[in-house]
Amino acid sequence: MAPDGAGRSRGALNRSGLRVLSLVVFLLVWEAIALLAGRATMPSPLEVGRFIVAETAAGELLRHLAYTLARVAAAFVIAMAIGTAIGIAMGRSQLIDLFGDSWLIVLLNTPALVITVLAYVWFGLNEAAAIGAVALNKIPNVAVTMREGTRALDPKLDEVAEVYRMSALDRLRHVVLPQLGSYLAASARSGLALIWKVVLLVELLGRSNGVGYAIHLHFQNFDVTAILGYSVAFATVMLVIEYALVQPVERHASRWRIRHA
Amino acid sequence: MLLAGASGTLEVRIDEKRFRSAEGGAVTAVAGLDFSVPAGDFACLIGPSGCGKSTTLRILLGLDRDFSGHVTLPAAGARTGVMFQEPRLLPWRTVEDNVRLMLPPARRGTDLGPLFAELDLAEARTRFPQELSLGMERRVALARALAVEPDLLVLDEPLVSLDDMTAARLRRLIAAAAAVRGVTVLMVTHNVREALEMADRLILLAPRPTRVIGEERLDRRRGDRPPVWIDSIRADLARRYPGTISED
Repeated sequence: MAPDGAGRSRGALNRSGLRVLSLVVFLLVWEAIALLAGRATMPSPLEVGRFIVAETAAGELLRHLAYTLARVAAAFVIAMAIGTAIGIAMGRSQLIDLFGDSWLIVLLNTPALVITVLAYVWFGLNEAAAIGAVALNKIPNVAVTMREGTRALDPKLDEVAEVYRMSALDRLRHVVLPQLGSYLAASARSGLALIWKVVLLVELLGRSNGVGYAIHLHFQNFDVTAILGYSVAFATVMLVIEYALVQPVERHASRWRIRHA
Repeated sequence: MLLAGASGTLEVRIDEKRFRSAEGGAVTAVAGLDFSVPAGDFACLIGPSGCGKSTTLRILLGLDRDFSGHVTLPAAGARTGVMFQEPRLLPWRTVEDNVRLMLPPARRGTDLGPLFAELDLAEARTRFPQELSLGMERRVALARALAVEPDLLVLDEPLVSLDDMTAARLRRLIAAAAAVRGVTVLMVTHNVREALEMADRLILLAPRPTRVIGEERLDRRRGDRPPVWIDSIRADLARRYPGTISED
């Protein structure tokens, strides 16, 4: 988040202006739909906002958000680590790829619901089963993306590392991972989006806290305001993560590229 | 084997190296190539393009082990510095890191100042490769090769696609660096003039499948080789090795 110099700060200002505009348009469209559809079906942004404030004051919202966020973080870290390892191994070795390819396809096409239900049946209604089920849903996506990235690695740089006898760890850090940076960012981004949706499903089916549980609770009363309130609150958290964490990390990782102004 | 290593001579014997061609047949790239370079010698491999020079380098660098024959490096566990045809720097690391990261871990802390000064790279240490000209990138690749204090320096057409002035400058830098260090050098080139200016020994190769067709020792001191001398040697070589060295 370091300032990039005066030249680019005006462009940055224009860009954030556009983002604010897009948010305002979104809220206006929402308001219009609320007016057309009627309050019971579609509460207005203001009502949802009031619910968020009240629920926050009661301590409920933050508590559920924290549980969900913790599950997202745990599942994300596990899925990225395991998926990346599998992807690199499959990209590097034709044997491992041949062996694992059909497993990957099966896992990719197994619905999140099936994996979740089976995890709860086999491992019980506990936190490990919940997080494991979420991670398992994401691992094949990460593996497929990282496999593509690994196949695109430059063999010429590998030869340099070989001639100068770089250690395996140094090779990973300085030669392999920088080349996989954009693939890592892509799977991280799509990963967060997928994971938080699956976390909600997992919470709905077998947890007694978290945003998924809260939505389940309010669904039983057909309380649309509450459902939207929780959904908006969590989407906001994910937006903040994207802009405050994912994008700065990405910029830092690609700082060596020549920027065309 | 130990004796050969201790003698410091680079010995390369490639009985055969085959490639599978795109049509599925086998192509023999090297057949019965055999040469050695004494310690501290600057040797140039000269041959027609596509004859298998780069293949030979890849084999002696240990990057291609699928061949029959044997390579003995100048010392047991010899360190090798390389300049490939392309600079092959890590674009996401600075010039300094590109050099430092290739050092053995125990020497990562070495002061690289004198080396960067020697190659006129002091100003470029914190820059990224994409900000450099090809000539500078090549100098960084040379710095990387010299930093490991190599027993053997392998150069694969290090001056190709540079303009004349940049090439001349890099040629002088390479020659001086090799002379100061007394390192054994094996350089591949198809530029005979370049070879005649820099080398102690020319190893002339046949078209594919390649083998050694002649070795020439150049006794005149490096740095004291006027164009007239270079032209006359070149004309003589062109007459004796018409398939490898052209007249013009």
